Amino acid sequence: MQVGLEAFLLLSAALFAIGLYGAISKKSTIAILMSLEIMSIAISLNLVAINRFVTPSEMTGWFFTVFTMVTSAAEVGIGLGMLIAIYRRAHTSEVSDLDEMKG
Amino acid sequence: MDIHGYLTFLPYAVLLVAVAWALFAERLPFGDKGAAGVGALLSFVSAVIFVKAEIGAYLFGGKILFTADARFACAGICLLTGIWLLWTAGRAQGRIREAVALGLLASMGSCLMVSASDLIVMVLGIELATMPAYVLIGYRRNRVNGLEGAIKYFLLSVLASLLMIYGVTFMYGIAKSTSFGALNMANAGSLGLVAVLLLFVGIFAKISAAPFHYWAPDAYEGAESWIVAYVSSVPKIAGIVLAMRLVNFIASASKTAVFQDTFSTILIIAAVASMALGSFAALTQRNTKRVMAYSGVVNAGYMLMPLVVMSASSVASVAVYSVFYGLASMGLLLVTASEGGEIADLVGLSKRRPAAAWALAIFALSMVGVPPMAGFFGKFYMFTSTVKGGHTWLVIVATIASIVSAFYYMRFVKAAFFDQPAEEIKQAEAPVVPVEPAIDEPVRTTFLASTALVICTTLVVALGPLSGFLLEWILNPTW
Repeated sequence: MQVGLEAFLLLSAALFAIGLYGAISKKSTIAILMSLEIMSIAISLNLVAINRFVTPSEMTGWFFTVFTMVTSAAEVGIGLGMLIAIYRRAHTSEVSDLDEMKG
Repeated sequence: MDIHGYLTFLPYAVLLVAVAWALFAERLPFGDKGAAGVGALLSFVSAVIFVKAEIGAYLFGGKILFTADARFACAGICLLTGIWLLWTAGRAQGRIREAVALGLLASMGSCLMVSASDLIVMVLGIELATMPAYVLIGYRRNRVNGLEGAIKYFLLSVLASLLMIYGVTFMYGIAKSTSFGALNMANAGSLGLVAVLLLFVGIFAKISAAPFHYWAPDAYEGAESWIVAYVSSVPKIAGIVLAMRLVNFIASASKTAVFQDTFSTILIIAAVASMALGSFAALTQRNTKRVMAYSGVVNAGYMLMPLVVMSASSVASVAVYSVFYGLASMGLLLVTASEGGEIADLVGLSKRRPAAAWALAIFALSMVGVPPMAGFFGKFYMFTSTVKGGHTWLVIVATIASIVSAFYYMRFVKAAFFDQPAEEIKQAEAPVVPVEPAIDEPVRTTFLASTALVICTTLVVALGPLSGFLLEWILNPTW
């Protein structure tokens, strides 16, 4: 049996949906960051699968994957740095506790 | 491609030199302020090189297409960065060298973003332009408010980026290429539309257009005013010019009527929602930065409007207005940066700093769109090109939003010129802003800040009547 492009796209769509649900529903900042990482993995899977099935003679999608992995790693670095800074001041990492500003 | 093509990349290298200077400012003469000064100088140099740059060339195997509107936007971005750094060298307190480096990197990302003609370069440019902004918003680590705004901005912005890149992966799959020239989304049915919609969710979030603007007020309120001056102007110019280029490339490659109708409906909904939500939210705000955040939402609405028409003149008018908006917004926030964050803190400004008060009035009038100022001419060209494209009712909505905007901008002028200070209330509510101790010698450099404001004011007054020439420079790039 041949596994086609659709199977990979469905898997990555499922991963993306799980990540999106987590990013919207979770209260802990760390859980949100983990959900965002799941979404970024869905993107990488999408790119690799599309490269394999749509443009097998080129490597565009693979290069794109490497770049998105680098940027999401940098984003997590910034996010954890801010999280530590905020935990030192406010002693919480829950998004719902961070509500000093309203309007 | 010959060597002249690569010379187009000289300004990016110049900006990188300034970044390197700022990162090693500790060991270089004049410390932090010197880094800001050098950054300002090199930004102005890059702006001049961008003005002189050759256009129409594909660089790096088609990854970059330097068009006349990209050239104008890049020159505007570098000019604004220079003005901001000049002010920073003059008046910013505490440790600023990282802010200088981050600002310059974000400007470089913005320039890359507006000249990209490939999805990969576009995504990298957007990331390079927004990642420094997260750090800048939370720059003072001892302010919990700033960190709270920064982490909200970070989470929403990363979410929007990921939605955008997810859309981009499908666009790559449909077009079988990442080049902008091949973005024919019309043959893929609803998948093409969904991909484009996801891409524009990301871009709407970057330019804080409704309904993806919720991060802006909190992020701006928590940050210091001089940082908001940068974050609210430069990345917005880049975002709107990128949106314009994308609309142009996608609409010209995907020619079916169904696709184009749906695409322009998306833009119309975002434009009207931005103007309506932004206007009403801005009316009730008491904090300068929150007002400017909502005014940014309204202005994103104005600038999305001509994109629906997509004629050559509407494109040029958006590019011109985005720079005018950036100048006025940056100027207004830089004037208020030396005062407190509330509008009430501006009371008595005309007695304390008369020149700054008049500059504030000029920026506010330009934002409203009162005739001699640049904002009026920018709006005039945008509105006329939209009417010519047959969307008169959109312009009526925009005009109402402009009239409403007079109420909240004039509040600044009223506070600065006409309100009497109420001593006891001011004493009680005066914000205590802890500032890290200055590292270098307290050299008197405030004249640099005044110079920056003078440049900004002069441009806002003088560029208005010259905007016809600017449009001509974008539309007929022969000179």
